Amino acid sequence: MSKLKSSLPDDLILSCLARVSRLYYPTLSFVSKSFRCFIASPELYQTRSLLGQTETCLYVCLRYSPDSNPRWFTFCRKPSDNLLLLVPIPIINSPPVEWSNIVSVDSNLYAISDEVAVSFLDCRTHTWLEAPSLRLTNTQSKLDGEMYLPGSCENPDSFNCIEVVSKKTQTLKPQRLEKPSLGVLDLQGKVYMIHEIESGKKGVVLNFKDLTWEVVGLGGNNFWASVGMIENIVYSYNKRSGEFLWLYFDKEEEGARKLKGLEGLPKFDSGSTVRLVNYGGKLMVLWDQNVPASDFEEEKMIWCAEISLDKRKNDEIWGKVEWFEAVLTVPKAYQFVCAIAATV
Amino acid sequence: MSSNKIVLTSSDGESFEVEEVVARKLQIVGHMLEDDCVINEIPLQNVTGDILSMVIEYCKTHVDEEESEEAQTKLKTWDEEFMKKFDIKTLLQIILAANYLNVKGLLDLVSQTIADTIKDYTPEQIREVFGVENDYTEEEEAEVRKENAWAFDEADTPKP
Repeated sequence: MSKLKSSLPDDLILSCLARVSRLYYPTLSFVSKSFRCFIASPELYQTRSLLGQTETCLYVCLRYSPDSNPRWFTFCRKPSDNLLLLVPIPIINSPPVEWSNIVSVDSNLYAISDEVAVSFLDCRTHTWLEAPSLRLTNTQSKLDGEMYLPGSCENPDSFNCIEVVSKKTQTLKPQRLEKPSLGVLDLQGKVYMIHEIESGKKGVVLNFKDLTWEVVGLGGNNFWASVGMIENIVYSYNKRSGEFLWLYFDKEEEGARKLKGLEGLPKFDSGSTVRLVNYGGKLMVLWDQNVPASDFEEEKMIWCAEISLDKRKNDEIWGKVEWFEAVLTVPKAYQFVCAIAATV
Repeated sequence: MSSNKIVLTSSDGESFEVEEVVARKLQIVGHMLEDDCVINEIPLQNVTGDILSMVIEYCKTHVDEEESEEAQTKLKTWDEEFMKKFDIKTLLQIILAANYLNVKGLLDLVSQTIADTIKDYTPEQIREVFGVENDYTEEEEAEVRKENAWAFDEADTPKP
């Protein structure tokens, strides 16, 4: 770590900075180059975790066409007027491939693609890194007594194929997966994927924490692609009715119920892009709205609301709007790639 | 409990007579007492009298830390009020003293207070407080300002 040459020893500055919320880090990085390195250093994050100072951080990825490069944003509280803004963050490296989905486990965001090994964005240093190969990891199965190995012998890094090892016959049977059927969700450090294999649809769970796989039963997977999951409950926004729903999957039945409450939440435009994020157990909703700008071009404004959830006895969930604010102005032709929270 | 008195002397020659249990909250003193139990006067080279008196005030208040929730809440309130007395320059002196004298509780408290204070500072104010030099070159700084117009632009974000 670089020396700061300040009036305090580095370890004391570390002790102070580790106690500052990450919402203020973007501004702190303007102090000096060494300060910028300091707040991205492993020592700082070590101190933060020793102090139990980890917090939930929102990451938003957008594209401003015609520029095809993804732009990443995170929250920052602006010191001068205390406004909460989404601000651009410089990212070191880029993921080697186009990813189809992204999941968060602790302070890492894993990019899931169909072809190559998993890359992840380390949210402490904002650097893309490559995850270790998953082919050689243990596998387990609770359901059908068979083992499922990701990838195939020819291409161990591929997610298009799973090899099923039958415990009874000790044979290895490759199962070709239909390509676009990746439905991925985070759930306590696990990644759920839905694959079509010969015998029908299978849910495969990749547990990033100990790098093991297991096979699970499926239910209502049609919903899985564009929704937020919090404490095993999937939340979704219905554009037609303008309602927030929560979904339940039982062995017997599956269905959706209306999320009640939400007093004060503005109505979204019918064409709004709406994203739901698990924000440390709360529901964070991001949506866009047209702004008639004073310039020639029309712009859009991205809004954000934090909603706390209250599960009540009679199968009801109530949402309370903690706050909502306009957080970012974007060009009208932007593309909302993803929004996800990491624990940093 | 022993009511043995210890005299602590600051770098500028100010002396404070405190009970041994209070002096032992300063771990630097605790270690000295373990090494040689007959000392009753301890010179503390790196801390001035005005700062030492504040550290002693903290240690006196925290001398018997009771487990009960009520006592903890009371101490917490006292800590908050205690910290409110100091400006940032004094806080920096206290953190240095707490580090040198090895008073863990005070070090945590003052670190948190400094953190809460500097979070609202502009980069210029932080440079001044910590005596950090701005080592961005002119070009780099212009680039940073361009890329982060949100931080430097005082104009409000347009609201629909």
